[in-house]
Amino acid sequence: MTIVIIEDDKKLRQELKILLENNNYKVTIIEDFKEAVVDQIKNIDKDLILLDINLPNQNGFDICKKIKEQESVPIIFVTSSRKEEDELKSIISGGEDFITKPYNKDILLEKIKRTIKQKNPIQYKEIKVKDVTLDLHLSIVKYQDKSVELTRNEFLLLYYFFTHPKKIITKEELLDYLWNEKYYLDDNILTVNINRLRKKLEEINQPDFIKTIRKQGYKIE
Amino acid sequence: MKYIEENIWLCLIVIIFTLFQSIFLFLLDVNPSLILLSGTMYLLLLGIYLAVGYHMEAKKKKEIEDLVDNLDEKYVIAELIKKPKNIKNQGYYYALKKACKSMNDKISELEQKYQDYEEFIESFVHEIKTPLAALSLYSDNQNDQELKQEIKKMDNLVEEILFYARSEKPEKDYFVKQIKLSEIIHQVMMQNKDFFLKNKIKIKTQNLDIFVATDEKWIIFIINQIINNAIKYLDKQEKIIEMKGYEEKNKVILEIKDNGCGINESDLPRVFDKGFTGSNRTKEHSTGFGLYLCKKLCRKLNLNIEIESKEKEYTIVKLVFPNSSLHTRK
Repeated sequence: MTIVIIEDDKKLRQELKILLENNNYKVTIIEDFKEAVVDQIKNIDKDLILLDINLPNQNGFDICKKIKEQESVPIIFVTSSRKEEDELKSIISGGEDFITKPYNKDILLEKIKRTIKQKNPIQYKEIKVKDVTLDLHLSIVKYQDKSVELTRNEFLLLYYFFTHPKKIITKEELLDYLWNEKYYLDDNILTVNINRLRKKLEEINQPDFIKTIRKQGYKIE
Repeated sequence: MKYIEENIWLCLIVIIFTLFQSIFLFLLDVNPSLILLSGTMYLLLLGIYLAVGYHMEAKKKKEIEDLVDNLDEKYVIAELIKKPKNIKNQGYYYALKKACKSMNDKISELEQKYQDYEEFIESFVHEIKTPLAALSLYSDNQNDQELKQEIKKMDNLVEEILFYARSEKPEKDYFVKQIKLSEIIHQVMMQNKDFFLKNKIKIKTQNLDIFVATDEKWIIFIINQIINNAIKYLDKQEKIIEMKGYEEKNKVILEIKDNGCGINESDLPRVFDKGFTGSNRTKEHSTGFGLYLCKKLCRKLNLNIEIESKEKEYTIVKLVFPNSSLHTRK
């Protein structure tokens, strides 16, 4: 996934680049604001644009309109203005979303993720890892002929594991994810939930499905 | 009586004239009863004149008073009253006109100054957000939680400045829409997530799937202030912040409860006062503006804010959203 950053503050765009690269996005930044930005990004490969509203020599709303005339890449406005009219203008000019400075890292990443997802909807009914099946509609997990029902947060946890197999998942990562889903858990409650989830997996003969990696986190494979 | 005092010269002249005429007529040997009659006539005429005059003046006074009382902006009165015929009153009229004019000039000067000031604040806040955003991302990338917390505090203070300036503004600059309590709370939670996790604060939410009609940014600011305030006074081993929504008599109520040190009963009525930081709650820096500003913004948004507390046990802040006809449950 490639994200183009259009922001005139040098420090800010550098930090944004680092943040996004740390989260596995490819990043292209625009540094020249003397030339029209629209022409510069025309031939760049991109899945999403982060666009500042106040730019030297040009204005984010106009850039957005021009880009939208040419292609349908999603655009998120970033701005320090908190005025309603700017929010309204960003919608009118075709922007997908709007975030104000100083952005909260989690909200920014979540908005990026959602915006990209909306443009590329992938609809699964179930996910399978190592013969264990997670049914996304019924929120049950199955192995061979056994199945067990999951509560909402158990399901969310397991969904995260299923969508990131073979990766070591840290507690922080899980907490970030759960908070984004409006489950405001702390460290201890997360551990309790994981243990409960393991008990349920035991019922379908998969007690070691979620492995603990000492001092790092959890993993499924 | 005042009126007779004012017309004292007229009265005296008439009385003296009557007296002289009576003496003169008496010397001319005119019938005393006739003299008495003419004297009484003069005094009667004077009496009628004074009575009618008083009545008319009083009526005029009442008219002017009523006019002023019915005006919202009293200082436009000079434009509305008729120019008096009485020479003395013309003097007052002149003075009133001049006074109102100079006051109007002063008001527009102050309004202009205030507007400039407000624009300055807006643009200042706007400008400072960019370096703050850069710093905030820098602290994220370096994973420097301490720096991040300090930046968060700065951002809160900057927001306070902005909303204070906005709260003083006479015209409305908010935008009311339907929004779920859970959405509002979610944004506040995400803003404070790192702090909550680092300080092991337990968050409990309950029944927040209720819609309210309000301005999103303002309400987020208000709740953020309440939460930030609650955080400061958490003193127990197990720190808990609870948020719950419920409906009651056409109202939606959002309750934010913390199990912190609570507020002294005698301090409770003063927590919404400007600059009040508590008589014994001296720890942590505080501008004393947070709750004052909340109250002020709530009044503008037509919300009620209430506070309940038991010292050493808990504090509950209730936000009451009125008028249920707009609120629908999902």
